[in-house]
Amino acid sequence: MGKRKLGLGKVNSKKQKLDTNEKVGSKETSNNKENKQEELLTVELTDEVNPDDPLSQLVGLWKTWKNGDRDNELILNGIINECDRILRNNIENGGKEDIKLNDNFYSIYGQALSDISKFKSDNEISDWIENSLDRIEDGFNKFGVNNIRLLFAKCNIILNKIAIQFIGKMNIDSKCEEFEGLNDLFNEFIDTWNLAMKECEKKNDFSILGEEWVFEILNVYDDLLDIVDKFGSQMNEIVDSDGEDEEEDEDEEEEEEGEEGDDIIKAKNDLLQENDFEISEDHPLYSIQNEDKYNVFWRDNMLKYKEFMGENVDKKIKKSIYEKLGQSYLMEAEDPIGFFNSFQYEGEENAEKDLDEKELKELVETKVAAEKARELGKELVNKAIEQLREAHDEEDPKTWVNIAEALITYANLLELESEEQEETYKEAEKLLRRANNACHGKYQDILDSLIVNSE
Amino acid sequence: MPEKRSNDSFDDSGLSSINRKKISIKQTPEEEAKAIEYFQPHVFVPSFKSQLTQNIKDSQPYRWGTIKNLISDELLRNVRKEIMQEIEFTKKETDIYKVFQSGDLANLSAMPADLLARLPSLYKLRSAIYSETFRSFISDVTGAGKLSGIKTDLSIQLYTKGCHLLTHDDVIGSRRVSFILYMPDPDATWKPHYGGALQLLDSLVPNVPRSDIHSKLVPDFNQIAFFTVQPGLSFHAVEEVKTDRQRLSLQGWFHIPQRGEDGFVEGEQEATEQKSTLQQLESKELKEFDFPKLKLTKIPNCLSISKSHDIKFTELDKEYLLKFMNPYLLIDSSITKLSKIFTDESVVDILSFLNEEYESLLKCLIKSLEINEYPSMPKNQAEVESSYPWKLAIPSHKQRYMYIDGGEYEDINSAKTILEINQVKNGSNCSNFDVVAKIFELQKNLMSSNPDYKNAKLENDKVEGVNVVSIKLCELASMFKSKAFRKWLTRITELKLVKDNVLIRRFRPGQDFILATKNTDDEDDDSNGDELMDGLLEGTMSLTPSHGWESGEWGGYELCLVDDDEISHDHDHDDNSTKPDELNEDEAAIYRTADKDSVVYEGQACWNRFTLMYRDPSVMKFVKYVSYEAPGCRWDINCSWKCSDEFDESD
Repeated sequence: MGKRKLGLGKVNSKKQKLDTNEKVGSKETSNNKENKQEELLTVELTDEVNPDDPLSQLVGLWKTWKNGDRDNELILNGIINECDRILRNNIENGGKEDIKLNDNFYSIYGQALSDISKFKSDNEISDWIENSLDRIEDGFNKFGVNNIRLLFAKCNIILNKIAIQFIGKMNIDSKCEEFEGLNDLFNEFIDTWNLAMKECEKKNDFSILGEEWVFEILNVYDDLLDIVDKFGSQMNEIVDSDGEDEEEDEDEEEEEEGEEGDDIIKAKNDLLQENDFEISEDHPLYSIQNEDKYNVFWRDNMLKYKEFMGENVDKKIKKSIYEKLGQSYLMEAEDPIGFFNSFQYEGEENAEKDLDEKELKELVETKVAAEKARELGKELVNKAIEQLREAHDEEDPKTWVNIAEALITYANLLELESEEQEETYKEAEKLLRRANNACHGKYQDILDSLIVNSE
Repeated sequence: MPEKRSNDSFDDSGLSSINRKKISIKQTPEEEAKAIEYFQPHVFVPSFKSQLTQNIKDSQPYRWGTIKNLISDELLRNVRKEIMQEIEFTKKETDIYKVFQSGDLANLSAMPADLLARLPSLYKLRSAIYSETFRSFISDVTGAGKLSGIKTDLSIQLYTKGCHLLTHDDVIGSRRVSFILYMPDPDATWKPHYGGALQLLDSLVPNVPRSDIHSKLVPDFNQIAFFTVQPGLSFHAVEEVKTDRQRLSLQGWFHIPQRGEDGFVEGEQEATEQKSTLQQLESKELKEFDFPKLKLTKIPNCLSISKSHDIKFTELDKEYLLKFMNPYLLIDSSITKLSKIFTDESVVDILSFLNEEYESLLKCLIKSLEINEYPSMPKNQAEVESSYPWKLAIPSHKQRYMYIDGGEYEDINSAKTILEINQVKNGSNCSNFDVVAKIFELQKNLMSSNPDYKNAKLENDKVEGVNVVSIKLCELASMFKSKAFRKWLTRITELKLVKDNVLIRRFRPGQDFILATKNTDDEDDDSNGDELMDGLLEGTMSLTPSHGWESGEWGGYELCLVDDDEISHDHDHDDNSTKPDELNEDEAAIYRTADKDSVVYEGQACWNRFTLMYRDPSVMKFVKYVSYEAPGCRWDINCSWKCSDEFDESD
C-alpha cells in the first residue's frame, strides 16, 4: 500500500459532513446543483421530505431558504428554476410529469420571485416583483380569490414591495409625488390581510397561523412601521445608543446642561448623536407616520393572532407574540408616564414657591390630569406585565428581565414606599438577580441601580 | 463570518501593516512652536508633572500613567468629527482581536497627502503628540529615555459592541513607550459596565502574564494612558465592549531616537531589537508555565489495525459504547464511510455523535446548570481553583479556559509552585476520570448540607452546583479513553494510537479563548520504540447546548489554518509558527498570519458534533474568544492522540 497523504494541511480540504441521523434508505440528501460561476450548492433536506415528490422537495428547499441566513441567491435561483421546471413538465402544460399543483406551489413561486428581487439591480426589481404578483394571480385563478395561503403570500410580497421599491429608495427630501401609490399599497396590505383572516374565521380553520412565515408577515409590517416612525432620525454609520442607558445619559446631560448651558446644547448636534428630525408634510411617509390606524391594525391583529393561534402553535411564535404585545403596551404607556413624571418633578419645584390663585388652580387641574395619566400608565404597564409573564421562558433569562423591567416601571407609578411598591420591587429584584447569575453579571448595573434606589 | 488575522492587520492595538513604507516626519520649527498650544495648560504645570512622575513610579503592576484632559477640547472634538466623517472603518477579526480598522489609514504616518488635507485637526494632533515638548514630557515622567520625533507610529481604532483585544505585551523592535488617547463620545460618560477598559496584567515571571486582570482603566474622552514597553512585563488587553457604544481611540508608540536625533545612541536600536527578539525566544522556552500540558499518556497494549481480532468489537464493547454513541456509528457501513472521508480529507464532522437518550439528558443538565449555577460561574483564578477538579488554563497571552484533565491538583499561583510541579514533583500526569467523577460525587453530597446553598435553594429551587454535569462529562471523557472506543477510532483512522490525552473544557463568555498554536508535539518524548507521526490526531466533542452560535458573532468557534510560510519542519518552535529570528518589526506580533485560502477547517460551537482531524505540524488551530454576549459557555471534550502509521511502516 502506498503512503497515505494524511494531514489537514496536506489535504487542504474543506470539511465533510455526515449526518448520522440519516438512516440508509429512509432519508435522501437532495443536491440542488446550480451552476453559477462554477459554484456548487448542496442543500440538505429534512427527514419528512419525500424524494420522489418534486413538490415535497420544493417545500423543503423553500424551508431551507426561510430558515437560513437568506443571503444566498443560489438557493432562490434553485427554487425558481424548480418551479419553472415543474410547470413546464407538467401534464397540464403538455409535459410528462403528473404533478398536482397546489396553492403552496404558487405561494412559494411568487414569494421566491419577490425575495430574489433584493439581489437584482435597481432597474430589474420592479419586473421581478410584478412577476411575483402575477404568479399569485395565477394561483388565485386556479384556487379562487379567497385562497388563504395565497392571500398571506400576497401580503408578504406587498410588504417587500413597500420596503424595496418605496422606503428603500427614499431620503429625507423625498416628495409624495415621487412615490405615488404608497398609501394604496399599505391599504391593500391591510385589506388582503383582513380578507385572509376573515376566510380563516369563516372556515374556522386557523392552522395556517401556526406557520412561522405567516407570523413573520406581522413582524415585517411592524418593522416597517418602526422604520417609518424613525425615518429622518439619522444615525451615524455605527449605532451609538444603548436603550437602557439612554435615560441615564439624558439625566446626566440635563445635569450638565445646568452648568455648561449652550455648550451642551451645541454638542447635542454632534454627528454621533441621534438628530431629532421631523419629515415634512409633503414627504411620502408623513401620512403613514401620523396616522394611528396602521399601528392600531398591528395591535388588533396581534391580539387576534394570539386568540386564534391555538394551543399547538410553536413555542417560539407564542413567546414572540406575547413579548411584542407586552412591549407595545409599554411603549404606549411611555407618554402618560412621562406626563406623570414631569408633573411630579414640577410639583416638587412648585411646592417651594408661593403661588397665586390662578397658578394654584392650574396646579390642581394638572394634578388631576397627572393622576389620570398615572392610572392610565398603571393600566397599560399592567397589561404589559400580563403579556410578558405569558412570554416567560425558563430557559431564556431575557424574558425574566423583561418582566422585571416592566415591574420596576409599574412600581415607580405606585405610592412611594407602599407595601405594594416594596413587593413589586422585590419581585423584580429576585428575577433580575437570577437572570444576572444566569448571564454572568450582564444585568449587574440594573440590579445595582435598583438596590441603590430602594435603599 | 469573521476574517482571520491577516498580514495587513495590526499588532498591538495598533494597525501597522506589513510591507508598508515607513514615513519619517520631522516637524518644522513653526509646528513645534504651535504644538504646545494644542495641549491643555495644566499638563505642563511643574507640580502636575512631578505628581505624575511620582504616580508612575508607584504604579502597579508595571510603570504606567494616565492624564485626563490632555488635548485642547475643541481640537480633540474636531479630530473625532473628522475621523467619523472622513474615515471608513472595516471590521477585522483574528484569534487575538476583533476591531474596526480604518481601511486606508493602516498607519497615520503613511497617510496620503490628499487624505491628510481632509484631516487638518488630526494632523495637528499628530504634530502635538510627536512634538519635542510632549516627547520630553513623556520621557521625563516615565524615565524611559529619549524618544524619537521622526519615527512616528500612530493608528486609529474603533471598538464597538463585541470588539476586544486579548493579552499581549507590545514588545516589538524599537518601541519605547506605548500610548492610547481615548475619544469616546465627548458628551457622555463612559461607564465601567460598557466594557472597553484598558486592562493591565501582572506577570508570574517575565514573559508569563497572570490570568486575572491586575487593574483597569475605564476610558474617558481626552484621556491618555501610556506605559514604557517592557519586554515580558507590559502585558495588557482591551476588555470587550459590552454595549452598543463606540470606543474610538488613537493608539501609537514612541520609538527610540533615530540617527541624527537628540539622544541617538549608536547601536541602541539594534540592541533593543535584539532584546525584543530574545524576549520572543524566552517566551517560547517558558513552556513549563503552560497549563494544561500536552503530555500524552502512553496507551497500554496499543491496538493494531493489522490484527483484526484487536479491533473487533466484543458484545461488551458494543454494549458499553451504545450507552453513549449513536448506534448508527457502530454499523460496518458507517465505519467504512467515515473511514473513507477521513482518509480522503483528514477531517470528518460527525453530527449526532451521541445517542438520543444520552444527549438529551446531558443537554438538559448543562442547560439547566448554565441558568441555575451555584455558586455562579467562576470569574477569576481563585474561583476556578476552588472548583477543582476543574482547573484553569494559563498563561493568559496564550489561553484562558476551564478544564478537567482527570489529574491531580496543581498550584499555579506562583512561579515557585509551578516550578515545583515541573521540577520537584514532575508527576506522572496520571489521568483518571472515574476517580475524578467520584470526587465530584462527594462534593455534590457535601454541597447539599452547605447553608449558603440551602439559602440559595430557598430563593430558586432549581439552583445546582457544577458537580452533576461534571460527573456526566467525566463519564464521557472516560469513554473516549476506553479500549472499546479506541477500536472504533482505529477502524476509522487506520492508525495505531500510541498515546492519548483527554480534556473536558469550558470556555466562559467574556473570558476564554486559545490563541493560534501549531503545537502538535508531545512534551514527554517517550515513544517507546514506535515511530510516531509528526502530527496529532484530534477529536473534539462539541457540547455547547445554547443556540445562535452559527454566525460566529459570539466567537467560540474552532478554526484551523495552514501556515503558508512553513518552510522547514523544525519543531523547536512549535509553540508558534514563525522562527523568532525571522521576525521583522511588523511581523513579530502577527505571526499567526493567514489569508482566507489558508483556512482548512472551521467549526462553530454547537451541540453533539464529534470532529475528528489529523493535524499536521503546518496547521495552526485556535478557539476564538467567547463574547460576553454569548448566551452560555462553549463546552467540549478535546482528545489528542499520538499515532504511528502502520501502513507507512509496511511501505
